[in-house]
Amino acid sequence: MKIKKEKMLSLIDESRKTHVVYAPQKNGAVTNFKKVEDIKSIDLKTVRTATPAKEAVFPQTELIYKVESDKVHQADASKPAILFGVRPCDARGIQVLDNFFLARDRKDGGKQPFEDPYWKEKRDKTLIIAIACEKPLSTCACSSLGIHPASEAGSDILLVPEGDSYQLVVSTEKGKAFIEANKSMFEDGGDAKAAQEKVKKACESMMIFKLDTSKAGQYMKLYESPIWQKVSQGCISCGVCTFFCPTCHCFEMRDRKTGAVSCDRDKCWDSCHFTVYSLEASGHNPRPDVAARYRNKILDKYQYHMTLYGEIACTGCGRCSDLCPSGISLSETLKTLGGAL
Amino acid sequence: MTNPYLPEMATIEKIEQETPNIKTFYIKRDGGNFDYNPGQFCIIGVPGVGDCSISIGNTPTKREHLELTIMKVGAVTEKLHGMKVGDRVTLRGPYGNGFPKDALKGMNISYMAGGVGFSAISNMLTYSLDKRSDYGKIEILYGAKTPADQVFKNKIFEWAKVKDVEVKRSCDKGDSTWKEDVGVVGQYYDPNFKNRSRLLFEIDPGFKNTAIVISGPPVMIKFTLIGLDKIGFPKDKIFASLEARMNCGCGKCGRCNVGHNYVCQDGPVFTSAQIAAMPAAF
Amino acid sequence: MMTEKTLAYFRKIVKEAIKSGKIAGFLGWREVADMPGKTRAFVATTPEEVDLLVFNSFSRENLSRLLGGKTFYIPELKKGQKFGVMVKGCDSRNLLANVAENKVDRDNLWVIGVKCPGTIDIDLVRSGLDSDIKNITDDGTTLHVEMLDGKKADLVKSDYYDPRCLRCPYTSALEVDELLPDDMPKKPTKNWEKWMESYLQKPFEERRAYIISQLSRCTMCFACRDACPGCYCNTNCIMDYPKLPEPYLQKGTSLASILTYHFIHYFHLSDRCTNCGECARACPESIPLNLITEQLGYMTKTTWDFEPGTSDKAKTPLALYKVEEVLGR
Repeated sequence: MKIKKEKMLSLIDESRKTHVVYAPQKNGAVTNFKKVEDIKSIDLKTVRTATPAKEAVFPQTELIYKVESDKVHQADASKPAILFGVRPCDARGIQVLDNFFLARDRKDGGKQPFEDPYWKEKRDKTLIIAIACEKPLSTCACSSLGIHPASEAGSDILLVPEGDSYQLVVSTEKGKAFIEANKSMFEDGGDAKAAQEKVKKACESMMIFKLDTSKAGQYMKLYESPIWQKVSQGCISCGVCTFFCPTCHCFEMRDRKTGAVSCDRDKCWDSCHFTVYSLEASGHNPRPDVAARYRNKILDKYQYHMTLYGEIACTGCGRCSDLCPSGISLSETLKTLGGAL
Repeated sequence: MTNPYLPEMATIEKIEQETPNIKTFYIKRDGGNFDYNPGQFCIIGVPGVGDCSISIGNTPTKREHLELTIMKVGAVTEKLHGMKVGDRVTLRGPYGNGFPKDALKGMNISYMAGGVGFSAISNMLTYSLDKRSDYGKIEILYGAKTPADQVFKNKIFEWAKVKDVEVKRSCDKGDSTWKEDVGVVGQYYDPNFKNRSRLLFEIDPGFKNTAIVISGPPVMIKFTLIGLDKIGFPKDKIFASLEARMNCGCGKCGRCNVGHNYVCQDGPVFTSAQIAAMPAAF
Repeated sequence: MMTEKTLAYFRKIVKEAIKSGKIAGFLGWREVADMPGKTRAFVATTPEEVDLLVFNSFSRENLSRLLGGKTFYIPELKKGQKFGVMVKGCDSRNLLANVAENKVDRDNLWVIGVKCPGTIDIDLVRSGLDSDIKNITDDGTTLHVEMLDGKKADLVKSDYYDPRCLRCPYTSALEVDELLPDDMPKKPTKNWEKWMESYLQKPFEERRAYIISQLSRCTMCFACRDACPGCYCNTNCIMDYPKLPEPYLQKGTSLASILTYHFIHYFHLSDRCTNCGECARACPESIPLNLITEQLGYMTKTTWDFEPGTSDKAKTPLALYKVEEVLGR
């Protein structure tokens, strides 16, 4: 099944009546996912948005409840949403986080008694329309992480560009229902699998950034090694590689005072790189230096997630390397760590 | 599925001053107090200031009030210490795993605590006293920095009156009024100490039917576990309640991880064997 | 680009210093494998590692921020031993400013300076290309770019300078122990003050609206603070203080919090900022953060005729007062 490119945009425009639509839009020098007010502002040229698409399901600042007149009021439910123009790495990121937020079974036998109701609610109400990448950036490495530039993992519908149309790969019931509801816009014909393969091959042939994932799950042996000092050299403990990571999920809940005994409670992104993140009230900090914090980040993605869910919590989007103010490359880190094993 | 982030309003019904900087708050939730497992914790919040994780100190079999023993250390606890009876707070929980109260049935239990950490095991302690016939001999070993820092000064004598319960207390530094032991609390597990743990060295020297439940500052737990290892106490029968900076309490916010475990979700109670397998738990 | 001869000379003196035990290590830049056009901070502790050290138009990071504050790099030094560091013009000014504020012990440092040929804004290069960069080299006047799609392009270097470098009047590193020979291409310079004056001609509302629209992208990742050589408060930073309930001091990204954070940063830097531009470079959202600090720098210059980081003795104007100010004369 396929759809003409301009028809897809008008379908998205039409959907704004019933859904909140998030899509990449230019703002100054960067492109980010934002609520679409004007269909013309959608930017599908930029390969990678600055902030990952997880923002639509896991907003950076989210009101979760209010305390008012001596009562706790849960925040209003969100509206149905469409997340349009997501790249495969970001779609996969949301899929990776499902394990965690939806309390899926753990491989180590441990229990996860709670699921995150706010993630679940938004996830259930969000339709993810991804778009395959025709060209990579120099730090793109999705193919190292089990997906590829035209991968449908994590998306409800994947659009594969082919001439003036998109071939469709529909992976979920939610995606099927959307297409069924808008049947008239789509036409039969074409081979989605072939188009997918073609885009994948063309894009992969240009990728230069490689992540060595063969040693994932073994880095625990290096826990006490001084190598972390070496790989974290130059790290300034900012939150870039975590805030901009499609699989980072740490947050802090903070009260925002609205009156003497009333407050709004926000769930805001937090980063394990921040010095005060794990600082205890007693003054003790289990991760007191840059190396320990950097180690925690790498191990969380390439070790702990493996132990818990049997997969690497990295989608190879390359943001952590590209955006790092200190030029720390994940590829280099993994190579150094692998060499020490 | 309930919302683990959503608290309920609660009232402070009684406050007891334990030490100059520790108070015990007796809390009642508006919708009635929840059931919990001894060793689980809850999160108490002051609207507009924040919240913090606190062990529930009493046994779930008598939960008309939740007894939260709180030391003044941060912004929230400081605010709490300024509150009066009748003031309103938020409360959510219970979180964490708690002690294996059924697996411990029939066993002798040695409870060891340091400082304010007593409240992390007093739940299991009062539970085993409440169900006295289910458990064997009980020993309470408690240490604090100075006599003034001792918590549960009255309760501990009530507990000592129960059949087959022995209490030993120590202070790191005594004073003229202090007639009991002086030294760190870990000394009770030292075979050379004159007033050592009777349970470990006289009643059940083979450690066949004894479990240890322990809580306190990280440095105390660390050295006690090392000491217990030396005398060959089985690692899987030591249950320690750990602490970490927490925010969500339900294994989501990420800050309390030790290796791939979250202290709030997979703990706070870990066996010594589990702790040994964790990277740098302290 | 450093000439082969200068690079060899530079590596030679650093190697000698390491071998003789004069220095415990040397902080410089090295190239990053797989990331064309980027360098990262690197401490060489053995003569072999010295061969990795480079200086080129992509050595953009300000190394002086690693010598004080959060990521204190100076290792334990034996008696009489020093720690080597390489600085370009802007780095040297920040180092001097931090020495003047007693944050860095200059006696522990062995500072090698270069006459900076200006740095290239790699993101500017990338944004103008159809396909991303596979490899980039610089011959002094032209950037030779090889792209991922196999195409090649030769770009005029002067079009891609980091704007901060064009405005920087200090090409040569100040008050260093050793200044490397001046054999690098000269960078073009714009008259900073003129540029600032023309910027200030714009109506206040227009400037404010522009800055707020840019800042609204802020994610509060604090990269600008952590990259700033003038921010050395460590965990005492007010934004790190746990559990502040005030609605404008939250981790969340309300405009109130964003503006509060950035203006606290600006106030603390008002008379201390050397306009090194690290905040803007570090920003993952490409917010032109240095617009305001440059304005503050301009005000400091015109009000007190003071330029921060030009001496290791001078106190900043707001840290001093004159008797006539107190008496209101």
